[in-house]
Amino acid sequence: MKTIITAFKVVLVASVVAVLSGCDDPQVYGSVGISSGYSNYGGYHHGRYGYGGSGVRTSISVGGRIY
Amino acid sequence: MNTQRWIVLLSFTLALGACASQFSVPPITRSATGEHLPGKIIWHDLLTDTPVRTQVFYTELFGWKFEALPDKGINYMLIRHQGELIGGMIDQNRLPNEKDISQWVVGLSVTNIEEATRTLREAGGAVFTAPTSLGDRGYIAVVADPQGALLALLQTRDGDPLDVKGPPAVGQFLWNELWAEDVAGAEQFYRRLSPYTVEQETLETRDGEVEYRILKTGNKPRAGIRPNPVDGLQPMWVSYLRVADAAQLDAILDNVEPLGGRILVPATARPGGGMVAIIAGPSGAGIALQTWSDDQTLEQQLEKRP
Repeated sequence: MKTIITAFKVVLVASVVAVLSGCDDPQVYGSVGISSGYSNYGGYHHGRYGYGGSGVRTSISVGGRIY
Repeated sequence: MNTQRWIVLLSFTLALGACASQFSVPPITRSATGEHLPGKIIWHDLLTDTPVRTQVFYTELFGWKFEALPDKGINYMLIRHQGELIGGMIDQNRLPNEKDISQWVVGLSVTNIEEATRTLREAGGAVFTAPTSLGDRGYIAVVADPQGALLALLQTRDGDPLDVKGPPAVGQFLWNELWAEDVAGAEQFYRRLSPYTVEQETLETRDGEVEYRILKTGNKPRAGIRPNPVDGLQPMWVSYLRVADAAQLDAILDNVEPLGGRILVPATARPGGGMVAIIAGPSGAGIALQTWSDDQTLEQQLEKRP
């Protein structure tokens, strides 16, 4: 009986630890090594491009859904 | 080893086994459709290192709702717009990545994820995460195409979102576009990956002509490919959200910086009509905004071209 109670406690503790630690989450994005390019994109601020980075020099005049 | 120790060991094994089998993310459709639409971009995941500010940003700008999963161990929130599931959000701080990977990731439907991953590898793409079960949702592989643009391949368990007549609701995803270094090479790769036909357009812009390729399946436009417009910018997929009109676009842009975002490209007239802008949320993840009216058609677009 004592053995069964011990086993039950172990299962309970292990399950709680497992769930809290997120062990079941495969973290599918965890090995992505590609940064967003937007940090190098520059930007537009108060009528001027270029703050925050060296990037964009022209606006994007095309792009997006056509039909 | 005595009996008690065996039982303890077995108990741990069972507990961890149960943990692994529990992982599941909800399907991307409200109910099973049973239909797969390979080549359609059916999902968007947002990787962010500022999850709280990001939620406020998109909630204030577009009325999105963020919903935690019941299992707090899973690093994933669902994004809804007007009750419809439109994407997911992952807290980058809970991932082991060394780089800042905050960005939107498109999810491309495939019917056989193992085969699609193999095709991608053979074409020179990179596989960050091999096909992995997401439980009720199906299988995902996280990859980069041969030019380095990040995307996810999704093989849904219960089917993909069906095509509907008319444009998506304002505030939902309208379009997806690949900014490629080599447009012809990208077309070749994606046609190998998915059953696309391609329509080629030449757009007249103030900077000259730009070749634009529309990837289609079953005569449905699925995505575009255009030359990367920014020197030094890594090839990438850019997603567009639908905005009703220029007035709404201006109102949104007025709130971007107060909410911690940035305007990367201000409201700009498109040659085909309407306006477009590009913004970044508090994490730096960029997204485009495009005006689109309810009755916008190809004919109307063509008439407006210079």
